[in-house]
Amino acid sequence: MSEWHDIAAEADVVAGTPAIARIAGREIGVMRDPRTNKIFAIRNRCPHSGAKLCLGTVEQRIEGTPGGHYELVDRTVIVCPWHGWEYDASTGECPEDNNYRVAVYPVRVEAGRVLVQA
Amino acid sequence: MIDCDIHVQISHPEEILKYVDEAERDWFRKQSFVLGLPGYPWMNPSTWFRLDLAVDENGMPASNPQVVAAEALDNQGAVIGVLTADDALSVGLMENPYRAATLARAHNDWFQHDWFPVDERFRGSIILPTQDTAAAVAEVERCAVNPKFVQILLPGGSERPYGDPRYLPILEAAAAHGLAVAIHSGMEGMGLAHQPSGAGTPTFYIEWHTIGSACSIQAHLISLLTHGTFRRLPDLKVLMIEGGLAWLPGMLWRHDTNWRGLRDDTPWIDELPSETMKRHIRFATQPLEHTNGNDELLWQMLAAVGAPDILCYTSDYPHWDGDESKWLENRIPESWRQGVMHDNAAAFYGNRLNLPVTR
Repeated sequence: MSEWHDIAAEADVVAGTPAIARIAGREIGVMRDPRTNKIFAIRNRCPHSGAKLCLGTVEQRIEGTPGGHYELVDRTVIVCPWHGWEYDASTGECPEDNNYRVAVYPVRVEAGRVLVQA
Repeated sequence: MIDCDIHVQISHPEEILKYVDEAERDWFRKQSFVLGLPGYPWMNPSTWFRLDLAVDENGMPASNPQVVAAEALDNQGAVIGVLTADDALSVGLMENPYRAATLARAHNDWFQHDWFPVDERFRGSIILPTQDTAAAVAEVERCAVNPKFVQILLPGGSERPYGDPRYLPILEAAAAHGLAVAIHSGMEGMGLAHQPSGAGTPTFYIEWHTIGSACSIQAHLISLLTHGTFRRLPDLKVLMIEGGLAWLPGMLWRHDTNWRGLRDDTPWIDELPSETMKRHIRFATQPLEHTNGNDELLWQMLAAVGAPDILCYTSDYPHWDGDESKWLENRIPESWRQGVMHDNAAAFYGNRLNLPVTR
C-alpha cells in the first residue's frame, strides 16, 4: 500500500539537481522540469539497461516532419545518461518503444516540502 | 514465376547509338569503355556470365530478345521477366550529365523498340541521368507512358545515398506513376560514385563482390528510412537488388536500436524503421547466401524482419552468380514459395505489371 513520503525541501530541488530517496528498496528521484518548473518523481533506473536515470537530462521533446523540420512540443522527457532513450516525465512511457516504461509517482508540495506517493 | 532481374546485354554499341542523334554518335563511339560508361575497377577473374548460355556473333549472351525469352522465361517458367540494364546501370555516374541524359534516353528507347515488342512477358526498367535531377525527372515522365516500364533503376554506387533531398523529385515522379524504384548493387567506386566502403578501395573483385555490393544497398536502405522518405511519399515502393540478404536482420535491428537513442536527430521517424521497411521495401532473393548448413537459422532471422512477404525472386540471368528458379524454389521453405516466386512481386508492382489473366 502506497504512502506519502517526505523526500526533500522544495527549494533544494532545482533543475539539474535531483533529490534521490530510497523507498521500499527502490530509488526514486525527484526532479524539476526547467521549462515548466514542475516537480516530478520517477524511478531512478532505466528499464532498458539499468542506468541511474536521474543522472540524465530533463528536456523538452523534439518532434519533426520529413525534410529537416524540427519542432519543440509541449512534452517533457527525461533522457537516459547511457543510451539516450527518452521517457515521458508524466507517464514514464518510452515513446519509441511501448515495451519499456519507467515508474512515475504522484508528487505534492506541502509547507515547502516535496512529498512522493510510493 | 516472376523474375525481377534479367540483365540484357548490349552486344554492339550501334544497337544503342541508332537511338542517338547523329550529332552525338561519334562522341560515344570514341569513348574508351563501352559508350562512355564508367568501367569496373575490379574485373571478374573468370567470367561475368554463365558459360552454358547461347552467345551471339560477338560472343555475348543475353543480347537477343528471342534467346532471352527462351532461356530466361520459357526454360524457367516465368510469366513475367523484368529487364534490367547491365553496364548502362552506371549511366547516372557518368561525369558528363548531358551525354548521360542522351544515353539514358537511347537505352530506354532500345528497350521500348527492340525488346518489349518481341515478347509480351517482357517488362522493363528506366535508367536515368541522376546527375541532373530535372533531366532525370523528365525522362521518368517521358517513359512512364509506356506501360511496359514497371520501375526506374538506380545503381548501388552513388554520389550520396538516395534518401538525400536531391533525389526526392526523381522518387516522387516514379511514385506518382506507380513505378517502383529498383536499386541494384554495383557501380560502387565507378565514375561519380564513392568507393564501396568507408575503409578505402578494395583490392580484389571478391572483396568488392562481398562487401562493396552489400554496403551500398545497406546505405540506401538506411538513408531512405532515416530521411523519412516514405512519410513524404507514401506510395513509394523500393526493390533492393543483389545486395545480399543474411545481413538484413542485423542491420535493421541495429538501426532500430540506434533510433531509440538518437531519434531527436531525425524526429520525423515515428515508428521502428524496420516496420516502415516492411511496408515499402522488398528485397531480391539473389544472391542468396550459402549458410554452411544453417538454412533454418537464415529463414528464422529473415522471418523476424518480414519474410517471406519482403522477398521477390530474381535470377540475375545471365550472370555467373545467378540463382536458378528451381534451385531457389526448392531451397526456401515450401510455405514461402508462392509468395517469393510470384505473389510478392505481383503485389509489389501492382497494376503496373499488367499481369496476364492466367499463368
